[in-house]
Amino acid sequence: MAITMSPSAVRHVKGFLESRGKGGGLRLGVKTSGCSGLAYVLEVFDEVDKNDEVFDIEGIKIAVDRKSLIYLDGTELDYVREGLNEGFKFKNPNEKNSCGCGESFSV
Amino acid sequence: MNTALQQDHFALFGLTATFDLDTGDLYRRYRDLQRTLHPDRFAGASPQERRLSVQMAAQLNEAYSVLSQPLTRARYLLECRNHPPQSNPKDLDIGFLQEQILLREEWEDVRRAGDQTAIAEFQLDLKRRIEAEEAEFSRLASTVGGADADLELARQAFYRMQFYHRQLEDCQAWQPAAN
Amino acid sequence: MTLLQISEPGRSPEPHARRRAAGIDLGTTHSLVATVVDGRPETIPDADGRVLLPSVVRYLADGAPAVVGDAARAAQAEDPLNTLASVKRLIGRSIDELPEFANRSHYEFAAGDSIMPKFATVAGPISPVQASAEILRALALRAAGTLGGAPEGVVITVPAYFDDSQRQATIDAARIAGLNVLRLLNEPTAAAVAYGLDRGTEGVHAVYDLGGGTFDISILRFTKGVFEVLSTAGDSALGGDDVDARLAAWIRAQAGLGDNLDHGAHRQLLVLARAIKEGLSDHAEMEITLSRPSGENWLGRITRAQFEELIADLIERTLAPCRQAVKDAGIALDELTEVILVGGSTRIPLVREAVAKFFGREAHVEIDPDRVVALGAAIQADILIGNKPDSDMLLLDVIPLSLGIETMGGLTEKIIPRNTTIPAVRAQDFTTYKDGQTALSLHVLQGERELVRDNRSLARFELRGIPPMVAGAARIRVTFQVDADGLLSVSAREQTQGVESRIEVKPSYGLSDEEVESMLTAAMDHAHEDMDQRRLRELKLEANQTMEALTAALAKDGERLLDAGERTDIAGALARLHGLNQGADETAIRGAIDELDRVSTVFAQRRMDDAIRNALSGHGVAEFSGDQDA
Repeated sequence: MAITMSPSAVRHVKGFLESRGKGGGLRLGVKTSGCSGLAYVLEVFDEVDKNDEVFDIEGIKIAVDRKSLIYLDGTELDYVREGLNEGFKFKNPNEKNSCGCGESFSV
Repeated sequence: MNTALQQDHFALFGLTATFDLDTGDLYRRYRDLQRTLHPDRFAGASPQERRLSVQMAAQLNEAYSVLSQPLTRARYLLECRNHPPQSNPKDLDIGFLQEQILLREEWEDVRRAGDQTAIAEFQLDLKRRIEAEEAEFSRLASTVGGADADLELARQAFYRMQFYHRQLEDCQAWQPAAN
Repeated sequence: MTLLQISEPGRSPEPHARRRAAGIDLGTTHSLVATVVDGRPETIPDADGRVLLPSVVRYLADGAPAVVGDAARAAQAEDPLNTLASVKRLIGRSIDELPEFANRSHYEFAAGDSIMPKFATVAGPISPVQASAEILRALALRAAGTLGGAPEGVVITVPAYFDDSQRQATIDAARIAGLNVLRLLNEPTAAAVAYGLDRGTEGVHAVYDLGGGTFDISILRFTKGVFEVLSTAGDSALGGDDVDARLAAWIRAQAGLGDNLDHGAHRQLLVLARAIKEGLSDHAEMEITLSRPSGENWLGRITRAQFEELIADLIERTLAPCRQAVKDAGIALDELTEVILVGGSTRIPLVREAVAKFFGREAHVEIDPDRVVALGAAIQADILIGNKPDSDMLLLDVIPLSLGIETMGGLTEKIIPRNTTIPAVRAQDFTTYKDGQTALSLHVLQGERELVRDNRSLARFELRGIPPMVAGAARIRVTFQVDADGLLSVSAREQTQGVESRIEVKPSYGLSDEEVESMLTAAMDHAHEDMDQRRLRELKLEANQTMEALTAALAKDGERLLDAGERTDIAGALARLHGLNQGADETAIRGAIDELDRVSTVFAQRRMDDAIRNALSGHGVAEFSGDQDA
């Protein structure tokens, strides 16, 4: 299982966790929703769940529930700036269709 | 200036200027354009696009109201071709002036007699006259360009069309006292 | 492409989070708010499950917040002067139009310079606009509970027959309440939208809307998602209130109460009359119990037949506008597909009979006539806020009353006739009538009458700087533009000599900008914030909206419609505005908005042209070959 993070994503996640002051790490996942079926979850977590796989990227604890893991294999989490907006982006090789706005996708 | 705002009424609908128009087709074009341009489509747009949309939707409404009726369409074509109808035309044919007087008198008689069949018949006659003038106008001024002499004749046809329309409106507005 | 932010545990946003929009029916006797939930419009109840909010506002002493709704209505008899009901009948109207209302309603009015009426209350002089703002605020608060936050945009309904002043005043009330108005929507059109989407019956429909204080009749055609109003007519001072007043006068005479009732007793009588009226919709006869000032009770009774005799002429008065609307629509009665009843007053059996007789068929009442307008407004709000990008619904409404200008001899010259589809633009040329005349004063009017004094005066303004010429040589083009809210703006320019002399006005109904501002400051929510802060906040919001809309447009069409240089210009102006908008320099932000507006004009125009091409692409051959001499 491989999930990776770009250097800028690492920087921004660390910055976020520091300024929040508490939190175990970052939760990545997918949930069913939206116009193309699935949507990404990007949250801070305070506690891990028994269904979670937890691993470490550059000192950041990443929790992914097992169901989500199959959809996220090979994904790189990036942090990008587009025009006036900046934020995280899932670069997921499993993604087949995403809706026009990119808020949801299918595999 | 936006190109569409500069366009004449026909071009706005993607049509060639002509008197012989398929009004059903015109309506469908109007509806699809209004679906695209109406301010309701721009509620979340920039203030600039919102302003532009109001202007263009207004222009479209104006163009549609002019082109959808034969009388206003004829007037518009004459204006575009440098033969705008006058509000008090001085060069009216003497025969037409006499016809106006006769028609008004005839209507007075029919109205006073109060015979519903005769009233309906009178209105039907006006409608036939209007159709005939429309055909005449179409023959003279539907094509692009047109000789000055033809356009002058077309303008005379317009005056007659306009008179019959007004007379018809008078008839339709009139209500027998009993009702 | 949406970029993600890190959320708190369990709080990842739903994709395509819906934006919060609401439809508001601001009525004479009661008001409602509705929103679209899971694709269906629903009226929003208060904590006690009541959907109707009585449009009654009670003002209290010592800066206590005003009370709105049932509690205020209950206090009418006890505290009549501070408890304002039916203010919609006064909104956008001037003091000159007051006497009739004042006599009947038993309020006291504050003296003042403004030509706008103000009620004298313990909280100071209160205008109908301010009282309406309180009602809107209460509804917005109710909606916030359901929507999970304050509504980001609202559609407010107004009677189709409202004139420019009444519409403008409604917008001002919303502004004071801190609401973003997406659109003013005509009440009958809103009802048609709710019916159209519910039943899907295509054809030509008549909507008969008799509310608490206003009457509208609209004839509209519904085909393939397009609601096209063909004509509208009405009476903006006729409704259930007048029925109540008739019945109250009758009870007063029967009970021998005389004419000199105090304010409280009068209001109590109106409340009683209303209850009897409602009872007579279901019962053939009602008993009346009235407690007289002396303490003893008066007992009486009234039959439905007696009641109908009392109000027959009021109901008859609605039929002339019906006749007018049918005629203006250019249709025969038997061409109508359906007749729809809207408004609480259409519960009166006599109204239903009159409508059925006039139109020759039974009317539809499947959707609650009290709620249907708010439901339609919610549907429109949901679309305008952007929650249904694929909707192809289109509303084409009309202006109810002709707009014109005063000409010599006190006559009105119509520029935009009633029932013209909006948005509308029309120009008319005027000239000078004296040699060397350098100014022209223009008087803008609304109404159908020939004489100026019989129509409503909307604005007076002067175009100066006309180059001196002989009489009749100047060509002054006056342009009237009516937007999709039915609001007019007028511009005038002299165009013979190329000397630009130009003026633009928005008519106001006698409320100056300063007065609106002072009402804004007085409005509770903003008491802590001074005007400067408020202006800055509004400006920043405008800047954000502009940037957001433009960024989205660039992402969609920037590559296709602009060259590299143009894109760089726009990006530069965007970046400057973005930077300045972090600060607090109003002038600089305004300048940057205008600059962005300027450099992106060409983009907006190309997008429009592109949209037109797309819209026409499905139609037959478009021959642009040209009527070159046209």
